[in-house]
Amino acid sequence: MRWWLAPFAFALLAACGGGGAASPCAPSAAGADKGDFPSSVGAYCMVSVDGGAVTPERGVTPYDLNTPLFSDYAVKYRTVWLPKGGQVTYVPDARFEFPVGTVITKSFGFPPDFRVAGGPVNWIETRVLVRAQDGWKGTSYVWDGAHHDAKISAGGEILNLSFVDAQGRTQAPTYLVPSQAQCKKCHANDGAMISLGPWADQLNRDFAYVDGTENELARWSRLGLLAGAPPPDQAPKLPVFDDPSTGDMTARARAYLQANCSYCHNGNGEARTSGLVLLATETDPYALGVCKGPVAAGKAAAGQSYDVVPAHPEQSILVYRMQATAPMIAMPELGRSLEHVEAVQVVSDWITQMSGSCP
Amino acid sequence: MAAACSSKSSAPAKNPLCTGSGRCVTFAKGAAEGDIAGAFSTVAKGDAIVFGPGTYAFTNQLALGTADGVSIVGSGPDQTVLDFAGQKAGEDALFAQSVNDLRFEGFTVKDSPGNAIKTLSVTGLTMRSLTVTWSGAGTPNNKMDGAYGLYPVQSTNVLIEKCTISGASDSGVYVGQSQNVVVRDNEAFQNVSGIEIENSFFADVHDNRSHDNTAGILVFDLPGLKQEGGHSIRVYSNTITHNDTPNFAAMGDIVSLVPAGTGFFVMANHDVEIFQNTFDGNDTGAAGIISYALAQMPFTDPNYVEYPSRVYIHGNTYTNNGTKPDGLNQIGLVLSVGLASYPGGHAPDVLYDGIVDPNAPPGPNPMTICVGEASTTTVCNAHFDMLDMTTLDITKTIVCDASPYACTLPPLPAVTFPGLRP
Repeated sequence: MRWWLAPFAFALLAACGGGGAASPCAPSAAGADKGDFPSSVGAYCMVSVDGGAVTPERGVTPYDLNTPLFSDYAVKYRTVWLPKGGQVTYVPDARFEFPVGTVITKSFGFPPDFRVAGGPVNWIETRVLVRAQDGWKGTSYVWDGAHHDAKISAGGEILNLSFVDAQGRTQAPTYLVPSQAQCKKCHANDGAMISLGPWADQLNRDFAYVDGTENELARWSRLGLLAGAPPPDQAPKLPVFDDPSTGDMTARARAYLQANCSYCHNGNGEARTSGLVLLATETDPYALGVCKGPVAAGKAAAGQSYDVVPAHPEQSILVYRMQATAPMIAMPELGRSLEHVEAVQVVSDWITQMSGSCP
Repeated sequence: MAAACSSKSSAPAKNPLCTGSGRCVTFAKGAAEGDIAGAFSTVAKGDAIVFGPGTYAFTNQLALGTADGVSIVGSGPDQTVLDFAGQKAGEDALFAQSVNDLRFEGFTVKDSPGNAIKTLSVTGLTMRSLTVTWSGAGTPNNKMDGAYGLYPVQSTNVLIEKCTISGASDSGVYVGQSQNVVVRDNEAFQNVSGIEIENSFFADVHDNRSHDNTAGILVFDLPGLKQEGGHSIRVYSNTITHNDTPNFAAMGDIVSLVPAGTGFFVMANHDVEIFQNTFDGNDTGAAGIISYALAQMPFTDPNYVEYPSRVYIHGNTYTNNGTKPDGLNQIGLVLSVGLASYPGGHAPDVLYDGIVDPNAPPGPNPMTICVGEASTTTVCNAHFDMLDMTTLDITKTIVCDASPYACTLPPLPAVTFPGLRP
């Protein structure tokens, strides 16, 4: 199932950890914290791919998020490793701050057919974030066809992929492996690199670990990665955007916008120039886009006057840009070439049940 | 295809474009996109990235890594072309953020699906001898062409000079929420707006040729933004001619509200000086001084001031303006009603919308709008504040009398910043 791989892309070197059963290795920042990214992902000893599944190396903790970023329907596998003695101090309402030397990975892949449960995944890339003395540094590694090794891709690339989605439709994303500089397009707050996923409310969920299912916050605490966390039932929990049992329509739509938009639209992120703030905690309707005219949106305004028009998703620029896939118009700006139909529905439903009107 | 100049063993003649204090990475025609994007991503302090002659095609946005003192240099805008017609990701073709002392010089950016070059939070930005264009420029079907050409935002100490921008479906040059800005010796044509300064402080816009756009030069201030209350803007010695291209901006975009045939608009802002410009053949009118209220867009921002004040327009040359206001635009349509009744038989050269701050002290000129023009220049207050919105009959409200505005304001100081040559 290689749609894009060069035929010669066969493993040339068995990097540490790259062969699954190869000699044990020890996770580390591998020099990336000094600004020198290793050429192969195996050097971090964080993950390998075995039988179509990403496998964490010994001492590496996998995790998932309640409502993740959408990336063309890619499946994702996240891991974290903290240096010996390192610990995160629990905060209920902000991103976790990790100790210097921490390594986070996120692997992106596509099952050839999403209707086949538990089948092998074609892993495309593993993105690595390393906490250096002066902040986070990141880059991506692109897997070879045999998943023996993933090589650094500082410049990124666009890949023409194909898969069959859960409804049986063939999807053909122009999938973005971001360049190193593009990492900062999302992972930035007022110009400084940041991590995005690990917040208490995102991690407050169960994960099926090899040794059993456990709440992620509880496990991180038990393993000593996290200090000061309350029992999970006393910690905030972000709704799962497409699971009505986790929150009402508004809460789930806001959770989706939090995860998919607010890394830029938060007042300090890259979209600070727009005045549109999509944090789940934002309470000012105007900042949320209600009857707010677009700023510098150009043709993405699409003939509409406001970001959000109560009761009218079809007149709301926010919905239009979530549906669009053209590069100037699509939001988020990077990493989405397909419409996330399920999310558009949730956000549209949220707008539909708003009361009020715009002039 | 990347070759570091300094690493060549045979000590070749140094590429004269390699002027930085750091490494110099050169690319020649045929260079792989991934190598170029990798070089952009991994720049270090003082580096230069130099393009030889040729066309370079891209499928992804070209984002710049975080390093100060970087130069991106081509072999001249007619020699080096960065072609983004095939760009699949990113709102901007070239993007840089949060660095100091960045220079783009000597190349063309062509057919970007969105903005051509955007910089966010750059201090010390030079854009020199660049061409930005879209293949649809000047054709009736260029609605989908890009947005902004050169687009610094929340940047400081910005110099844009000797650039040529055409075909943008929003503004050719757009400087937003920035401070200490010089835009000079550029040519902008066939854009919706030639040059726009928005929510910015301390800008000199001079010696530009802005022609055949929908609007020549705009100085705007919008609500709800991090930096607002635009002020200390000088617009002088520009040639602003024949900006009569039908408005092709997307509806909903603020510039879509601007009538074709506009020479200059200042909207909101305070302390703006417009002088020694040449206005010719702008069919709706040469210069407008207007409030955001005219856009009829709601806002909730308590800090935003929607009225222009302390605007001084003087010593400009006006010929053949206002002869055929844009009938497809509400402002243009309203103006065209009374065409025969205005002095000189054309829409005013200097048009003030007359919408004033209700809290301003009463008087004939509460917002201190000063006009020092030749007696042949028609100066009118349209009094949109009193316009009957059912009939829109402007002839009932417009007053063409310059005497309330016969004041002067002290000249605004020239913009200066480190490294700026006169």
